[in-house]
Amino acid sequence: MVENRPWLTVIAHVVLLLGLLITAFPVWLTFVASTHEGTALTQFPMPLWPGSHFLDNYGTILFSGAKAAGGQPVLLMLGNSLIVALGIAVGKIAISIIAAYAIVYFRFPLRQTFFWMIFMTLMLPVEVRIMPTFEITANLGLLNSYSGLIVPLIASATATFLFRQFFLTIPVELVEAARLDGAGPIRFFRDVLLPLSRTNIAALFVILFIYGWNQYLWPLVVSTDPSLTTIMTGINALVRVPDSEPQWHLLMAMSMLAMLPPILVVVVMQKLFVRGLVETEK
Amino acid sequence: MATVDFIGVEKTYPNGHKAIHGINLNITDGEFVVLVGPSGCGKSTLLRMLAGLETVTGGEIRIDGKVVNRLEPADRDIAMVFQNYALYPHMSVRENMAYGLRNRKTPVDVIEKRVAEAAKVLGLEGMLDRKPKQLSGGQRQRVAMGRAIVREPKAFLFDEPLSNLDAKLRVQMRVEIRRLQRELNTTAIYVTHDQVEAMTMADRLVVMRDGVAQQIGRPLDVYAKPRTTYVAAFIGSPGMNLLEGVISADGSAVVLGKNGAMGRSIALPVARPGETGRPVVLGIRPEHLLINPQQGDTVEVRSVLTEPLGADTIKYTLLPGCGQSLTVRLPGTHPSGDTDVLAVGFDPAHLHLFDEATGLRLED
Amino acid sequence: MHQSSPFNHRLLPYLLVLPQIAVTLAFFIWPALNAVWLSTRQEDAFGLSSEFVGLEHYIAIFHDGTYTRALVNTAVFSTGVTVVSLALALLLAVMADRVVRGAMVYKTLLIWPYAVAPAVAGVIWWLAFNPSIGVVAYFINILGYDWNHLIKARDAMMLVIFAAAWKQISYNFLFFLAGLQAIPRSLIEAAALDGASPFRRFWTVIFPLLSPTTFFLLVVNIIYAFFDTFALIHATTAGGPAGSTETLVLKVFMDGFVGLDLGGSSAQSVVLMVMVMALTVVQFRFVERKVQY
Repeated sequence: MVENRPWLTVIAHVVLLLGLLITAFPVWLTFVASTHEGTALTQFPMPLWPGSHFLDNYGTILFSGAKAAGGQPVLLMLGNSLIVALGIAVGKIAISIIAAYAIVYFRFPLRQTFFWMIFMTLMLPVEVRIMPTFEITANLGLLNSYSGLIVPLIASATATFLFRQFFLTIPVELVEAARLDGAGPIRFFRDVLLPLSRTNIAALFVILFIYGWNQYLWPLVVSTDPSLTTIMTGINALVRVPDSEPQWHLLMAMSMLAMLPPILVVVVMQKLFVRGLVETEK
Repeated sequence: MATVDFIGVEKTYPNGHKAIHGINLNITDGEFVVLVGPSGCGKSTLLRMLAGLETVTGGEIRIDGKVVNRLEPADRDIAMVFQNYALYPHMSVRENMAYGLRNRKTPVDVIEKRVAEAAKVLGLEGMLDRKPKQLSGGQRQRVAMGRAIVREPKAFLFDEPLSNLDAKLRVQMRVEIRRLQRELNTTAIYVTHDQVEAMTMADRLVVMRDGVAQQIGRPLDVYAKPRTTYVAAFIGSPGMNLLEGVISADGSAVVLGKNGAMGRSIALPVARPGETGRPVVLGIRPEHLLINPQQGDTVEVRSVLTEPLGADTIKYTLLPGCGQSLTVRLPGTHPSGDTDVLAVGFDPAHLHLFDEATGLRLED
Repeated sequence: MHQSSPFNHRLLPYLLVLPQIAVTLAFFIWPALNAVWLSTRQEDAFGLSSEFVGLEHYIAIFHDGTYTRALVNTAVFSTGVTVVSLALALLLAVMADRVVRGAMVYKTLLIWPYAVAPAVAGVIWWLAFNPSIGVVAYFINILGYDWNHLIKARDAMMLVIFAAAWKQISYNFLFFLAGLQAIPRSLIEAAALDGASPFRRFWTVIFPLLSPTTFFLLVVNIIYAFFDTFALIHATTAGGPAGSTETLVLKVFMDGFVGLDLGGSSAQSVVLMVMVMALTVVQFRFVERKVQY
């Protein structure tokens, strides 16, 4: 900073530490709750230090599940969430990059129309059109299937725009050089465009993986089959146990497991994550 | 190695803009032809039409006698060097050079051999595994050349390949490109806006303006006998002085100034009787003006700026009474301001005469 | 945009856009049009036939007390979320921009809540505020307020606002920090030489220069609060107690899937679509301006 005022720096650190505290505090409580017996979580307030039932609780939910909520093993839910998150991330990237490729590198009738149709998806989040979307998914026979969980969510204006924006920054001469080098549209895409898009794909993947992993409403309505429970719908089932306080220790262990993969992705791939977040908003 | 023929080639864009107005040009095998002109004159468009990157809307382009109007760029067997080099950023130098050959299913050992040869010729041997990012501008330029060479194409196309280099490197690469082209004896078509590049590199040059070839010829012929005032001013550095005037009453001289208003007459080497009063443009190159000549007519001009270049000196002067400027090139060094007024002689052997209305050269 | 088509191919471009367009048509545009159509029709009791009723459903929802309550709830909720998360994020970003030592560490430790699912964010704060075991509720009780979001409407609203804002802070923080770091140092130094105190400098130089970022985040946060917080509310208060945290998206879902009121739910969907469109238009007008900036 421009001047030397040590106390201002001290205040900055204090505020930031308070910020960290607010950020981390509920997660700490979650972790603590997930390491206690169910009975320990009836006192007011709950303990602030971890208990001794870490392995018990996590073992129980991972391999046999919470009895009160139908008893699906959480391992299975994590697997389903992984499949859905990967499916959504890969699907969105795949169909968006080829659509952007067509829109930038080809001139064809209806090009503008297609562009605006893709743009429209930005204005139609699944939450606002949930009933009719559910209906068409049902009519297509996609209820209770991985396809039903994944396909209706993979249209992406954001990803298409990102790739379009990126392609527009690639000098035209590169396409021309490739044409002179005997590369047709498919070879140019595979040999030049795809490798050049690597960083963008990776950044987008981080964002979309989190998006897919955190899906809640759509899995809730589209799958009733217990074997297709994702970690989010599993949490919902455990919260919704009728007429009783939830089994906090199991619910919190499940919440920990639900948070862990996306947080790991963000922390490990921080650079790509920030890039993806900023780029997709352009 | 091939001949290239443009026969009445035209380009009209879908929006109606006509960029090329019927170009006729026959390029012989192994010739180095430079298309030169200011930006927007159509030189790049013409080159890109030959490459197949722009469609031909009129006339024919032939390579080795075969019409290529509808051929894909890849099927024309030509190679192009772009202004920004257009190297594939994610590929190594080796991969950049090999890519075109790989796409043509050239055997691996042939590719390796050709890349090695090209690298040797261009001095890129130690850099084959580097990425374009790790190279200097001059090195990237060489890789772009290498990519063209390994293909052993019928013709090299250059689109302002030196514009992104600094002045010193530009001179060096200019020599190198010319040397390589002679060695390989491959037909080359080279686009530039720099008349020095055009003069020094070309076997023949095509001076273009507004989609029309103003003059096609060997550099020194163009220099000695520019066909239009435009070419006269464009070729040469500084360009030719062009002075308005009219043919004198006896047809033996040009009276300077609009309608001869300035009154000074300059004798013509060959009289033009019967053209009395015809408005003309008198041209003389700065290097052909004489200071304090022993004989002949002189004009007194006022020096306004002196540019010492070392080997010679350029003086920018004004003709009295009419505000027209006259640029004078003097050999050696001349202190600025030594004489504010110079007596300048016009060497009759180096006078050029153009019609004022059409700008066309008037032959003797 | 390229002048002419770099590649000429009749069929290929259509094949390339086909997957995206098929999904868009089937799962986005068709359902949206369907919602518009259904919102003008009334089904009979058995769902066998339906008749055109014009704008009846729209008139009905705006006369329905529960709908206007949801409208008010949404307004309160999104204002609360936006103000709280923007204010805290800006404070943290300004501080993080200030410190030289440890800035990267703070950044890493502040951005991960972005990755926490809205449903999970809701659940973990639900625990912290739980009136019978929650640590935060305990401290509030000590301060003399009897916190109970299971019964008290205001407490429930504050809980969901807080949880939703908490999750959004990292996003806002990142954008504010980027915005702050984009402000030329020389400007701040000039202000300092002009004798402006750090506090004055912030309000007279830095904050005005941040206004494009702030405006952008404002829109993004409103969109977030409107649509992306369904899971957070549904997994915790589920709209309760007594509909006091029921927002518009929650109500569309409840009326459609639980109440099976097709026409009314569709009319609500259409109203929401109009709102998203308005917000998106505002957002993109802003992006345009950013380009000219």
